Amino acid sequence: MTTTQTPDKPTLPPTQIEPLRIALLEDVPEFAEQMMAWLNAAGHRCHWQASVSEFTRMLSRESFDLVLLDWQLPDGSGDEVLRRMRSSTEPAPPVIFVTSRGDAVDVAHILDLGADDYLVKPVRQLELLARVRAIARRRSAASAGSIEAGNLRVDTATRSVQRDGLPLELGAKEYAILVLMLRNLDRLLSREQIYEAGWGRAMSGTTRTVDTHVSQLRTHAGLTMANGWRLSSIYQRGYRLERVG
Amino acid sequence: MKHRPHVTVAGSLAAEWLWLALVLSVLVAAASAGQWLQRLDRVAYDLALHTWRRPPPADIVIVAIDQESLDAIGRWPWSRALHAALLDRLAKAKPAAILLDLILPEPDEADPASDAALAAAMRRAGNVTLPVYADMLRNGNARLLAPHDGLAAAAAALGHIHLELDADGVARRVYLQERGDGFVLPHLAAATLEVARARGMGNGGGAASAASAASAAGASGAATPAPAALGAPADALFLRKDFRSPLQHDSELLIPFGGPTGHVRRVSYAAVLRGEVDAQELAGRVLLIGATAPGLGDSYPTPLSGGGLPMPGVEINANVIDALQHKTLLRELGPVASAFCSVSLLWLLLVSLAVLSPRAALLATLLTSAGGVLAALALLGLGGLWFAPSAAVFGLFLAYPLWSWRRLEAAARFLDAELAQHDHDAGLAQALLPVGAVAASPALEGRGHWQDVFARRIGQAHGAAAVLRQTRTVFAQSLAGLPMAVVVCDRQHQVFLANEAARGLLVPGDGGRLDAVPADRPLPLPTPLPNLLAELQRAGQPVDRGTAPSAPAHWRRLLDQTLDDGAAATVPLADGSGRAWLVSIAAYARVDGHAVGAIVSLTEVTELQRLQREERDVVHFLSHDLRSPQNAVLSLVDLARARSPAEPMAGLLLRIGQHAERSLALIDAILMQQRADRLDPNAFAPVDLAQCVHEVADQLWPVTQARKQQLSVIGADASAWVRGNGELLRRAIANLAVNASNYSGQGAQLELALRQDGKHWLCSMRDNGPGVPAQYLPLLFGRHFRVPPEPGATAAACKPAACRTSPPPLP
Repeated sequence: MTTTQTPDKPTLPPTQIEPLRIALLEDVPEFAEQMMAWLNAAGHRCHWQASVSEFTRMLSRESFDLVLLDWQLPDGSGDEVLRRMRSSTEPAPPVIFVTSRGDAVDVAHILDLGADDYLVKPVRQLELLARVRAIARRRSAASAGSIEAGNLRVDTATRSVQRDGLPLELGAKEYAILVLMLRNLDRLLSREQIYEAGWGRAMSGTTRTVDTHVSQLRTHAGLTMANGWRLSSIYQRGYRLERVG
Repeated sequence: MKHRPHVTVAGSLAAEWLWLALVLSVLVAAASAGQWLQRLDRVAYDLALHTWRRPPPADIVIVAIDQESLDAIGRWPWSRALHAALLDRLAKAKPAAILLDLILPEPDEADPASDAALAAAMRRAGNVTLPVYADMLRNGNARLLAPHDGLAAAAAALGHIHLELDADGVARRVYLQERGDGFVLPHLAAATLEVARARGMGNGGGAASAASAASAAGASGAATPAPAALGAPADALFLRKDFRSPLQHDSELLIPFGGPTGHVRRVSYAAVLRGEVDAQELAGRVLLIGATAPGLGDSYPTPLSGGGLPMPGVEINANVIDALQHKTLLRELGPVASAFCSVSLLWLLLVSLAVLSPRAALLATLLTSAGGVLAALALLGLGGLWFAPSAAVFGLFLAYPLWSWRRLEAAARFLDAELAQHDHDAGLAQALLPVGAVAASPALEGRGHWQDVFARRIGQAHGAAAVLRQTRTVFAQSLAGLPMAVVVCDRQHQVFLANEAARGLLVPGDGGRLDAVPADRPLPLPTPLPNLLAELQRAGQPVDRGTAPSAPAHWRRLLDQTLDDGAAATVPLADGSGRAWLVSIAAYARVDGHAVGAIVSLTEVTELQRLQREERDVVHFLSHDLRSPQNAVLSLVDLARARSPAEPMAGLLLRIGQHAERSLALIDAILMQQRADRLDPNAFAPVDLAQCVHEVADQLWPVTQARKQQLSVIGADASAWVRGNGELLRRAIANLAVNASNYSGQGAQLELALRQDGKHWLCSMRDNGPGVPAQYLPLLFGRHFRVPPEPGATAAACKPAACRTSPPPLP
């Protein structure tokens, strides 16, 4: 597979994505080489270390736009590195965890430590690039104006939504959530973020109201695989909206 | 932790007893032989005589110089001629003997004729005896006042009338012989009886009877005065006026008074003279003439004479004659015999004390004392022997308090030692038990110095017992609270402690009785433990005598083995209802290390064994299902090496990729299964089942698209909140849907539905596949189940098990 096989046009023009300087911690050379190949082909510059000590030294010497961490390494663990990064005073770059441990407890653990997102091995090229792209997009200024993605088109000036060219009636909160998700495609959005977007204030109390609105949005906006969307809930934390083939 | 105090108390008590017995024996023997308690003995003796009163003697009559006679005749002394007249009158009645109890040492100077008349009358009667009075002088010698020569010569016999009064002034004893320098003088009573017997009176004893009585009195070597000597008293040495001689009393006897003063029949002197007395009354009898009138002074208190009525000397003599005649004279036990009897009685009691309780011992004391006194009475009345019981009774009454005292001391010492030991143990117990589990008793601390020593000790013992009870309660409650079944049995395998879990397990039908039992009191079980265990093994199963391990003997052997070598044993037990148990047997020992029983606990390991079995299954699964794709990959790699360079790689790589995917899927399945097995319902969170269903539908989308299947989601438009583990629920629904898709052909219609059923949500998957054959339906919820004749289905169908453990819905 190559990057040219990416079927969908990104929601924003590719030119808006600036190339990232990425630090990769991975002890299995095969995985490392594959990921580096994919990332470099996508225009990023990837720097790889196979041990925690080397990687830490590299981080202290140079600065990076994104950090990819493996969990288990011969001389330490990725969550140790993450904890150290998050406890240091200088602003740390975003972190994506790449792990073979995909259960809820582990994911909750690394998200609690401050990881921005995670990927479960075996890593697919599309997935990896989409997550990296999502991070890169965050770095660029959020654009105003209309958003067009898949079968959905949102005109932020008129606050109107079209699905397959037909107008779609959405509640104010559903609209706000949809805009947030479309602007952050492929990104893990916490319930707090969603609540802030939909309700305009910091979340208090139960998260169930978020879930209910997301559930309604899924039905109303037809965010299903059949329509090329995947809206997945992430282990009691939040949601991710992805555009799929 | 030695239990010496008990041994010590027994040993020290034995020593105490011996000491007490020796000291008391010496004391009692000395008191008895030395007559320390003479006064008490006299009281007892007098009482004894009262007990053995006799009817008045029939053949003895006193001719009394009484007040009536004094009134009739005139003042005393009377003319001796009057006595002569009396004698003549008496002699006519033919009495056996006449004792003229008058002291007549001097001749009647004023009327010598009366002397002569008296002597003549005496000769005529021929059986008149006269007294010799021994006037005891200060230097220890005696001056004998015998009748003057004329009268002495006329007397049939002479005898002394010395009466030795006891220290209390009471006349009790008489000496049958008085020895002086060169003479032996019999008692006048004995001499008179000789005379009477010589005249044919008496009961066949003959002349020797009085003498034999005398010799029986123990006067060894003292020759009985022969009648011949009595017949010729005129030349006797002691008749001389200036005779002085030390007197030696011999043949002491106690006088068995038959009754109080006046007991012996009396006739008045005056009445005889007047001829008013019938001769029949006097014939053949021994007559004693003497003063009874109170003014004449010749009277003495006797044991039976009572308060104001002393007994005249003449009546005392009458009593002596009666006693001699009927051989009822009493002897006193000698010092040695007396001491022996006293000490014997004492030992009888001492032995009883050693074996009896304090209460019974007191009774024994009273009984032996009363018995001693009664025995003394009986001996006096039946055997003519007097045993002075006071010393013995004194010893007996001393023995009880002394022994009680020593016992108390020993008990106190024992108590002190035990309490000291207890304080040590209680310290240990308080160190072992949680703080406050054993409350200190207020009695244990003692409330003040003024308190009685024993009361304080008893208080301490009470406190110690309270601590013991509390300790026991703590242990009993600990035992009762144990989640496993625990029983304690003795060497005979009898269960005497069983906690509730054990009762419920071993005695299932015991429920009713159990309710009546306080929770902190594990009670004994009626059946021996081996039988209970054997019963448990075959519970619910038909009784099969052939099953060897379930025999009680098996358990008996195991228990005995543990009891013998002290090594704990753990053996498995499968009960009749399929549960598995581990039976742990440990010996428990007394403080001295001797094993006295076994503590047996039963822990259920059914779940543990199930897990072990499942782990074995997993290992089996891993070794087979997981290895096979890798083996396939290796073969494909071999194939790739062997291929010709021209041959395309794509097909091989595709297949290698498929095998790897399969391995990953299997591992995921195992991990998910493991998570489902360790599911913690406490960690459940709200889950929206509708979202789960949608996500599953999305997840299935590529598969169903490829198979041209139509998957429709029904009833998931609104939220469906349940409490559970979202990851596993999603996984379970996905598994259901994936299987439906796998088993349905191309273009099938699939329906994933969610609907509410009361408090539950029902998630169902409908397909148009072949369905699960009826015979496999029961197996559906087992793990790793796969319908065999379906070669294409490779996914491990382990999810239904997770479905089963799925969480309860939100209320």
